[in-house]
Order: sequence, then C-alpha cells, then structure tokens
Amino acid sequence: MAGIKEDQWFKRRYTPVNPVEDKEATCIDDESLTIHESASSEKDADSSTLINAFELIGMSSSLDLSGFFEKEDVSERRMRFTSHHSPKELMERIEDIVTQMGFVVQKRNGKLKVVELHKDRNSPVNLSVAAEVFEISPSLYLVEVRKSCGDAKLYRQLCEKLSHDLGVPRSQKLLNTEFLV
Amino acid sequence: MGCFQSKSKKDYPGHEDPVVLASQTAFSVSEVEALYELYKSISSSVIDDGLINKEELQLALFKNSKRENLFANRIFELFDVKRKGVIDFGDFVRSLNVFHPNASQEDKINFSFTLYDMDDTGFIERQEVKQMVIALLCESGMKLADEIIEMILDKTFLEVDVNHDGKIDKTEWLNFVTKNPSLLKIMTLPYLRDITTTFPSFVFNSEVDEIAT
Repeated sequence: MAGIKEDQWFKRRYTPVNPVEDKEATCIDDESLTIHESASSEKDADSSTLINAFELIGMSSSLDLSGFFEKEDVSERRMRFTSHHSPKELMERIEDIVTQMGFVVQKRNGKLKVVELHKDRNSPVNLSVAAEVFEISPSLYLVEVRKSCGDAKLYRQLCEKLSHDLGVPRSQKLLNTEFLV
Repeated sequence: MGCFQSKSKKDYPGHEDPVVLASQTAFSVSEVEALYELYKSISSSVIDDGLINKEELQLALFKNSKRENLFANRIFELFDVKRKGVIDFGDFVRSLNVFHPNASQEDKINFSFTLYDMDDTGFIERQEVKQMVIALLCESGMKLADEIIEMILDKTFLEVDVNHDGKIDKTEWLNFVTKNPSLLKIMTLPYLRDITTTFPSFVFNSEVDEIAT
C-alpha cells in the first residue's frame, strides 16, 4: 500500500483524505454562501427585523442537507436558544465572552464571526463560528451559533460558556447539548 | 485506462450512466462518479440493495435513523422522484443537482415551493406553515405562546399572501423569495462544488478492480 502511494502514477490523481486537513480545506464559510448581504442594509448590529415564518422554518436541521457531507451530527455544529436580552446586549455579551476565551471577532451585517487563530504549524484557523440574532417578538430573540469549521471540542466549550453566561434555560440546553452526554 | 463507457456498465449496475446524468445536470462526469461513492455508502447502510430507503436517508442526514419528522419525510418524498418508495441513483443525482451552487434560481424556487407544500395541493396553506413552525420550535426545544406564533404567521402572510386568500401560490412565493433571497439559503450546498475532493477519486478504485481481476 505504501509502495503504491509513493508511485508517481498514484500521486497524479489522488487527493488524500486527511480528516484534519480536509476540515480546513473544505471549510464551508457561511459568509460566502449568504446571498444578497448588501441589500439587507437595515440589519445592523443594533437591530434585527422581525423574523418571518419561513426564516424560522428554514432553520430546521431536517432541512439542512449538509448532513450528507458532515461527519458530526448537526447538534454538534449548531446551537440555538431564545433570550429576552436585546440583540445589542446579546452581541456585546457574546463578543465579550469569546474575546475572553482568546478568539478574534469580526462583525458584519448584524452577524458576528468568531475565529480562533491556531497557535501551531501551518493551520491558520482552528475554529470558525458565526452568531446571529433574530427577533421573534419585541421582547424575545432567537440566537443561533453555528460552527462553519474547526475543532468540535473547542466549539462545545464555547457553547457551554455562552449558555452558562447568557442564562439559557435547562430545557433548551438539554436539546442543544445532547452531544455533551 | 478505459473510457467512461466501458466502466459504467460494470460499476453502476442497474443505475443510470454517469455520462448521461452529467449531461443533464450541473455535475461533471467525475462529480457524478464521486456522488456515486456517497450514494453507495448511504444506500448500503441499512439494507444493502443499492437503493436508498427512508431510514437510510435519515441516517445519512441526521446520523440517527429514528429522527423522523415532517421535514425529513417531505425531503424523502421529493428525492423519491418516481414515487417508488426508494431513491435510486438517478433520483439522487437529479435531486442534489437542485442544490448545486450553479443550479438555476428557478429550480431552487420551485423545489422550495414543493417542499413547503406538504400536502401537494399546489398552495402553501396557512395551516401548513403553522405546522412547520411548530415542528421547528419542537425540534429546537423552544416553546412559544400561540399568540406569538399567530403573530409571526400574520406578519408573514401580510407580506407574502398578496391576494389575501389565506394561502401562498407559486407566483406569490416567487415574488417573496426574490425579495428575501436568504430564504433560499437552504437550497444551496456549497459542498457540492468540492465533491471530488470530499470523496476520493473513483478512478483509483476501478483501476484496482481491473488489476484484481
């Protein structure tokens, strides 16, 4: 097997599937697939427009076919919870928490992107996470935290901390953190 | 070496020729062949019959074959193009084609409309939307008062149901998603652009087969 791998013929067409490298290489950046961002000019960091039914529905994991290509269950890549804090407050709190954890934050169009710069070797990014706040009613907001690529354990730590600091009720926590069991 | 024609009959028993599928979709022949690797692993996961049944689809998407729900069922129905109760390779490729970043907006809009038209009436009724919202809330462990759900529906229908008949027709849907393109986000899988990287070259596999025989 090793001999075959060394051969020039093999190397020509073969792309090694290295789980670690692969994650980095095929990091699906949510920013790149967000359509029409420039049009949503009303959405800034301080406000969010009232969610419509289809935006809510579209959040279903069952409608997320990325499961075909991802090894982890969607619950290990995405967390959602509701909160009564205002979007501004939520974003600020999230930003504080993640900065304390050593992450770098980028803000764009009402969304927050969290990136941790990897310390060693050649991998520049170890974790890429996006957070977004949606308004369900004037006093109720939905927060979604999505991992676009990176270390699962690190992501779980981040979610735990966020849940804890933002006071996510147990019932929601249970469903979101099934993977922690 | 071999050309595509000579490989297809042996490697795709009972399935459509990748060359034909490639010509009808946004996928290249290599990409269709890579999709076959994915298809094989899904279709053999519960019953090794070369076809994808509902349980196998659930397992592939949710890593859990028991997670049956409204949306999963509908996705299965849509992928089961010929309504045979199973998804064959041709169905699989053609359905995934709609999710390709290069697929037409029109195809994506039509697919999403059919997706949400759960009972296939040609309209997305208010009651259907309510059912779907409740399903989502349930899935996320969130509870919302009925008044709030109704409020969300009111606001949505005010915007989309232009003729105020309590249901959404194709034209209303088309106009609505054109104004709110983020609603079609679920209809694109960027992974499909890198499919030949995600699923290693089939060429290697089939060369090995020939050497073995």
